[in-house]
Amino acid sequence: MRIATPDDRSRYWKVTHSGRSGFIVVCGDETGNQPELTGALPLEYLERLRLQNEILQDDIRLEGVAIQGEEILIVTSQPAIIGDEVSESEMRDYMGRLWFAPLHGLSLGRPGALAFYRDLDEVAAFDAHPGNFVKDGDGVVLPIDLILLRADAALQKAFAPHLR
Amino acid sequence: MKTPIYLSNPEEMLKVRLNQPRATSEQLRAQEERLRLAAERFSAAAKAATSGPGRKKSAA
Repeated sequence: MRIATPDDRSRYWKVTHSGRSGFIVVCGDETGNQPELTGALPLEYLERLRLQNEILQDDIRLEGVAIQGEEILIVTSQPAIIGDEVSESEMRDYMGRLWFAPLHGLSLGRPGALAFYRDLDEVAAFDAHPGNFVKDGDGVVLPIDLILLRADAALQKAFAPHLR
Repeated sequence: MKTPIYLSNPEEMLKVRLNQPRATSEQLRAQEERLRLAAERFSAAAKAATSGPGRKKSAA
């Protein structure tokens, strides 16, 4: 992902790498029925960003789509937030207050990253680590780049042992 | 360290995101570096606390 800021510096602009659209978590026969991080398709990536807006009240905007060679580049923007890093307990508290339960022993994305699941709307959140949260100037904890998805039946089944 | 504030009201959450003070290029660069280092420290600590896939070291 390439990141740039326009002159007014109120928003980050992000451009995916050619032919790559971030990551998603899948589960099925091909993964041995275990959750696995894999490259996302463009529409899966856009759905992930849509969930970030819907669930975490972000303001990610699709600015455009470009073609480079035969590959698609997705251009989005997101409000820039300047602040401090968060601690592990602050990430857990934040997610807990949104009714996300921790998925114990399941870490996908950066090593040690936390994972969560909210059964009321079957949304899972991955790659929670201090690089993907900010605590703004007033102390408000805000996630900025989690991997969010709606868990299908296979993923829900795979989560069960991690929801003890 | 600031006391954390956890918002759950959707309108409030969006308002906070959209009403951040304008940052300088230097602040944005410094923040990227700060978060990168924080993420690295977090991962290093997590690795040190595990002895294998998903297995926590027992406190001996």
